[in-house]
Amino acid sequence: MAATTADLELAALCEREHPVLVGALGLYLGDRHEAEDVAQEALIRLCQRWPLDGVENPGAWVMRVAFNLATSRFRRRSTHGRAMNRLAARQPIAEDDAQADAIAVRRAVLNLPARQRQAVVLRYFVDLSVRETAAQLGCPEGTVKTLVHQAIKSLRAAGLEVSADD
Amino acid sequence: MTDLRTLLHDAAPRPSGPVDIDALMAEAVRRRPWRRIGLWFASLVAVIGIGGGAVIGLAPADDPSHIDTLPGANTTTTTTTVAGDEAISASAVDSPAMMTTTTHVSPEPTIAEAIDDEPDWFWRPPAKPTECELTSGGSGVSDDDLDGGAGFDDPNTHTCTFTATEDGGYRAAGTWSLTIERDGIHIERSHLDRSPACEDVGFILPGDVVTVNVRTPGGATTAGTSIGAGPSWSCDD
Repeated sequence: MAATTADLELAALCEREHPVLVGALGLYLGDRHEAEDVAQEALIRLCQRWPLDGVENPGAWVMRVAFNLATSRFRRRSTHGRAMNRLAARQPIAEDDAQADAIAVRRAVLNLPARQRQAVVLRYFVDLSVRETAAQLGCPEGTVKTLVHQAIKSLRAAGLEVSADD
Repeated sequence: MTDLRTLLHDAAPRPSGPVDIDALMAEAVRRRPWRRIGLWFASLVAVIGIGGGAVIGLAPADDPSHIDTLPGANTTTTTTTVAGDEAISASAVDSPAMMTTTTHVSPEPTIAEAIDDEPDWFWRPPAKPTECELTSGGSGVSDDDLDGGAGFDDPNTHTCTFTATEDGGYRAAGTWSLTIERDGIHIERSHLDRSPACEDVGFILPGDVVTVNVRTPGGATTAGTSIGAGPSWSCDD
C-alpha cells in the first residue's frame, strides 16, 4: 500500500524528534535505556492520534507527552535511584576527560529537583524559548525564569562552570 | 565558563539506533480501540457457540496481566489468573454436573474500561540480537562474534568472546564463568555451583573484552548491549 502524505509527514516527524527526545529524556531520567523506552512510547501515542487535529506544533505535543510519561515513570519506579546507582557504578571508569565531564554534567543535572531539571533541559537542550518552556511546564514565564536561575545556581554549586543567557 | 547549551548537548545520550517507524506504526494500529471491541464480540460469539458451561478467558497477547472475561448465559465459572489479584470463589453454576473451580479472578471490566485501559508498561521493539547468548545443552547458541576456534574446546563448555562498543550488561544463571578485560584490569566472575540457583547481573562498558563460558547442563548467560546496564549484584555476595 502506498504511503499517504500524512504517513510521510508522520515518519519525518518521528525521525526528527526521536534523537531530541532521547537526549532530553536521557538528561531528565539519567538513563539512556529508560529514555529510549519513554521516547518510543511517546512516539507510539503520536502515531495513534495522528493527524493531531488542532495542534499547531506536533513536536511540542510529543515532547510534552514524553515528559509526562517520564515523570510518571520516574515516580512509580524509582528510576532516579537506579540511575544514580548506574552513574555511581560507572564513575571510576571514565575513559577520558570528555567522558568524565559528561558523567559529571549528567550527575549534576540528575541531582536537580524534577521541575528545575525539566526547565533546564527544555530551555538549554531542546532550545525552547521561555514562552515555549512555560507552555510545556504549564506555568507562568516568570516561574520558568526562576526555575532556570535556581538550577544554574545549583549546577555551579556542584562544580560546573556554566554560563547561560536568558 | 562553558555555555550550558554546549555542556548539555555534549552530555546528552544519543539513541542506540534509528527509530523503527514501521514498528511504531504497527504498534499504534494494534492498540486502536476498535480492535478491543472486536475481541469482545469475538468472545461473545464463542460463548454462544459453545452453548453454556464454557469457560472463556481472553487476554490481549501482549498484556498477560489484563484478562477480559465474558461469562456466558449458563456458566459462571472463570479461570483467569492474574498475579496479585485476590482469590474470589466462583459462584454455583446452573448445571449440577458442572465442576466449579475456585481460582484467582479479576473483576469483570466494562467495555469502556477495556478501551481506556492503557497497559502499565512501555512497549519495546523486538530485541536486537545480543553479542553473546549461550544456553546449556549445546542448543540455542547464537553468537555474532564467536572467537574462531576457541568456541568448543570442551564438549561440555561453550565459550563466546566479544568486544563491547556500547554500554551494556550481562545476566548469567546456572553454572558459568565470565571475564572482562577492562583497561588492563582483569575481572572474573563465576558461579560453579548449580545450587542454589541464582542470577548474577552486572554492567559492561565500551571497550570491555568479554568472555563468557557456560557449562552443560544448567548454564545460561546473555551479555551485550541489549541487556540494560544495572547495578551489579552477585550470587556470592
